Amino acid sequence: MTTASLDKYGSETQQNEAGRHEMASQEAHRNPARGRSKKPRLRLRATRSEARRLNRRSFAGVGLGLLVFFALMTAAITFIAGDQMGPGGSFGSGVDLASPEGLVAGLITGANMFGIITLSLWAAATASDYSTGWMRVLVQAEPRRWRLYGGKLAALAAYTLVGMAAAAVVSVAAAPALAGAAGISTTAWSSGVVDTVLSTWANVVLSVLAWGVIGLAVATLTRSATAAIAGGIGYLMVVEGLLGMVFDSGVTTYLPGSSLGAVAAGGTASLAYGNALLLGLAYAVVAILIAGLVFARRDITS
Amino acid sequence: MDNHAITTRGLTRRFGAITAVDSVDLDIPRGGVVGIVGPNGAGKSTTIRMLLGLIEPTDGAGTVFGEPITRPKRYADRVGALIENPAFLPNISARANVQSMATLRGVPSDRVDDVLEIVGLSDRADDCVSKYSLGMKQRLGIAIALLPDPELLVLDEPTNGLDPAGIVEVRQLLRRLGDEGRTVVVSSHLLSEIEAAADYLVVIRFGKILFAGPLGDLLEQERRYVDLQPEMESEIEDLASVYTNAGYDVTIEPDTVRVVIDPVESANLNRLAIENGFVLRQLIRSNENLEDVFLRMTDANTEVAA
Repeated sequence: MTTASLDKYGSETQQNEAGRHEMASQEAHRNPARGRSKKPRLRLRATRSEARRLNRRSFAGVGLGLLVFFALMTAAITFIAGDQMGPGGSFGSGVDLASPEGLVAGLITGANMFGIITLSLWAAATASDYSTGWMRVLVQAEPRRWRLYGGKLAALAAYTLVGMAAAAVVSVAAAPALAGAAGISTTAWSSGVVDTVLSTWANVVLSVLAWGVIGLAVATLTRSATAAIAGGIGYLMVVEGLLGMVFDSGVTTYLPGSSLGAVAAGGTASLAYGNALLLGLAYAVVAILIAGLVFARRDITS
Repeated sequence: MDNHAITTRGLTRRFGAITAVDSVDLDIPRGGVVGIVGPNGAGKSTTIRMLLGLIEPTDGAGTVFGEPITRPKRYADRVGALIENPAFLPNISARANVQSMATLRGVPSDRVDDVLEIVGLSDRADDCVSKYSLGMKQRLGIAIALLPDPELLVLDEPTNGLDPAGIVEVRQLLRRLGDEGRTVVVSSHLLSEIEAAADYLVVIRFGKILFAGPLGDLLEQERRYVDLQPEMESEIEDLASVYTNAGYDVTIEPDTVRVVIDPVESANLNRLAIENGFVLRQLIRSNENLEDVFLRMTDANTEVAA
């Protein structure tokens, strides 16, 4: 096809298929090294930029507030309700509250709740980039989409670590008073406090991070915080429960809710800690890769 | 050095069965204000998004500053953009929004104040963006686009929502930026917004380029014509036939027959009417303005497409 074009201020030139092929050829053979960044801190820039946005009061305040509130609530339920039956099954962490692990029983009990909150926060942070149109500003400024994606993951993970640290502090600080009110002996809690708290916190955080990644992945796929949050909560509260009623525990043990719960609890009778960790890691890696690939390849049309 | 800021060859983007941009060939010169004008849905935004690496072309190729548009990272630091509606996080201040983008781009913090000053938002920089009017948001979007001190500034419909004074301000800003040697690409569906500031014009319709060149070249396409009104309204079609048969370029407008002709020859039209038994009530000599040229070009394309 022959086409006419005008260069600056008017002289007409003829472009034909040969010209088009020439341009395509130049593009294909251009030195790829030329495009490499000479800015080693760019990845950190993406993280810091994302952290600035997460640090806004409406997001950080609500997120931290929810985590702390539910840390306190699940600790209270754990000690006050003990192993009584509730509407969704028995309350409690399954640990002997008078044992050294009793100090962190509230954290373990609340692991899936922390997971849901984290899933929601990660989903909201991701989907809002699409709903506000901010994503097109981000991608235009930093076309290396994997860097943007990595920056978001890192910032959200850091934010979650801080939030879960606050939740752990509140839960552990409240535990002695709650145990006293429930008449539970705490004499055994003094042995290995630091190890117990840190290892439990690490397990809960790993579980919660996996939930967050799942939230980010669903939000990336749907570009909707509502869909991601409703889907996540619906799955954990309804779908996995229904599957548990239909299939035997040999199947449901390996579903995300059960396996991530097992990670948080440091292993369960049906799923050893190591296996739970591997399974949780697999879920997280798959979610990260799917979301990353979709984000890297998808047109930014909104 | 390639003296074009933007070059495309056969650039095409299809969305399913719809071809939004159809084999677009462009050679946009460096420096000055370049207007991309076309009706809504003409393909302006899709073209811009391809140039910025937001969407991939289905076919064809293009370059920005000589770098392929499939490798936008190679020129992203030299380009600032405001694409369609300005996008922000509404619950933080304007300054925090700009600062967030400055952090991503690695731009020094003092540049944040500079760009807010340029767009006249320094006094309201610490207000929450949710309290901003549409015009203020538009200016904030331009501020973010100016952050990297870009050689190429791409503004998609930058005057949306602005009041007349705001439109004039933006137009003056574009002109100033263009005069500084930057290439400012600005799209609009209104030619009147573009023609006051642009040096170079691209007219697009149904994804195809109808015109690309210096504004002066489009002005040369302005036609002169004569509007003739017969004594009886019912004679309009017959009168038009007379001129069509005589080889003139004729259109029927409401109540008049329009003949494209150098107005100095209007006496010939009068003579021809009399010879064929028509009495003319009115004969008006007129020139097209740029808007008329634009509408004629886009309307003609509509007829072809239909």
